[in-house]
Amino acid sequence: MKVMKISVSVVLVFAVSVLMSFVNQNAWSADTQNYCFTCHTDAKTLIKITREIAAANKGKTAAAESEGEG
Amino acid sequence: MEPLAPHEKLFVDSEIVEDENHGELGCDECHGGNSAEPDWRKAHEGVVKDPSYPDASETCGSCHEEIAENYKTSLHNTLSPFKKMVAMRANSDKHVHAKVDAAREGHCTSCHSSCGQCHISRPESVGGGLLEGHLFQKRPPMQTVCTACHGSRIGKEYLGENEGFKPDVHKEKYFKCNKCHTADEMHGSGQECANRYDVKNGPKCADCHNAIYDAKAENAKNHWIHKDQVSCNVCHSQQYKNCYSCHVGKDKNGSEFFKTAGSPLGFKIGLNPLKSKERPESFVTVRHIPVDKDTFKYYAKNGLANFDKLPNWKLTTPHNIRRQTPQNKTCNSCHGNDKLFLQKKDVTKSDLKANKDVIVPLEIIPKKR
Repeated sequence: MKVMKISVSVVLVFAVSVLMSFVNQNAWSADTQNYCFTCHTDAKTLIKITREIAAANKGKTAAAESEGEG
Repeated sequence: MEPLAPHEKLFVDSEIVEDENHGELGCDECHGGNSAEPDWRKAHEGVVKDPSYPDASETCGSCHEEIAENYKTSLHNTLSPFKKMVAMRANSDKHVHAKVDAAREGHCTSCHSSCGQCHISRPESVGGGLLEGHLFQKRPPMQTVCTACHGSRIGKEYLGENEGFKPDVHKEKYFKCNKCHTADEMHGSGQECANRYDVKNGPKCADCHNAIYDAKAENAKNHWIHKDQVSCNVCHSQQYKNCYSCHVGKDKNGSEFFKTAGSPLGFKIGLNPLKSKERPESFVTVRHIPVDKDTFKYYAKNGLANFDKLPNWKLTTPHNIRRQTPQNKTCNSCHGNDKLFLQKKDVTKSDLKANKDVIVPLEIIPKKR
C-alpha cells in the first residue's frame, strides 16, 4: 500500500511538472520565436528601422505649424 | 518634457517578461500583427498601436473589467463636454452644425487619452512614445503624462513656470497629480458628466483641510466669514493664464493646425456660473477659454451662431495655491479692489451677452472695510 501511495505521488508530481512547463512555454517565449520582442528590445535594430522609415518619408511636406498655446 | 528619439519611442525593456501579470501576454494578443514574421513590414500588418482606445474591454478589460467599463464615461476618453458645449453654441442649421461637429471631432478630440496612453506610453497628442520601455506604470508619471497634455495652464501654474510666480504649495510638498486626483476619479464612475466639476470623486480642498473651521484653527474666523461665499481659489490662487481666440484650420496638404491669439496672465473673480449644492459660492475665479465666435470659421461661416448661450469666462481652479497671496494679505486687498473682479470693461463687446451671468455688477463688489 505504501509503495502504491509513493507511486501515485510521483506520477502526480510528474504530471503537474509537465503541465507547468507547457503553460510556461505558452507564456512570453520572447527569445525563441517572438520577432516583436527580439526586435523591440534591440536598440540597434530599432535605430536601423526607424532610419529606414525616416528615409522613406523624406520629401513629404511637414504640416503647417500650430501657433500659440494649446 | 524631453522629446524622445524615434527608436526610443518604440524600445521595449526586456524586463517586461518578469511582470507576472502582463509579461505572460504575447505582443500580438493585444496589438495584433504577426509575431512569427521576421520581416518587420509584414509583421506590422494589422497592428493596433493603442489597443486600449477607443474600447479597452477586450484588452485591459479582460482582467480590469470594472475599470474598463467605467472608463467608457471618463472625460479623458470621451471629452464629452467639448461636444456638448460646441453643440450648444453651434448654428442650428443642420448642415452648418454637421461641419462644426466634424471640425470639433478632428481638432478637439485628438486630445483624448486611454488606459495605454497613461499607463504605458506618453499620450499620442504629445507625440507618444513608450514610458519606461513598455513597463506598465501603475501611477502615470506626472511630467510625461499628466502635464504633457495639461501643460500650458495647469502644468506651468503647478510647477511655478509662469515668470514671477511661485509654484503651487502642494508641489513644494512633492505632491504628484495623483495625490489629489485619484485613480477612481481618473477612471470614471460609469456615469456621464456634464463637465469636469461634475466628476464623481473629484478632489475638494476640504478633503484634507477639514480642520480650517475648527474653533482653535488659525484663521478660523476668516474661513467662517467667507465660507460658501467665495471659493478657496479666490483667496489662495496666484495669477493664471487666460487664452484667447483659438482658430482651427487645415494647411494646403490637409493637415490640421490651430492658432491662438495669446495667453496673458491675469486673475479675475466672477460670479459662479456653476452654482450648486456642492459649489455654493457666489464668487469664484474665472478664466478666459480659447473659444470665440470664429473658432470654426475655416470650416463654416457663422458656425457658432449661438455663441452667446454660454460664457467664455469659465469657472476655474488654478493649480498655483499659496497660503498667502496679494489678494488675501489684508481685508482691503480684496474688499473694494474693483480690479480683481470681472467687469464689463474686461470683456470684449462681442462677448458681453455670453458672459452676462459671470460679470460682477459694480454694486455687489464687496465694499472697502
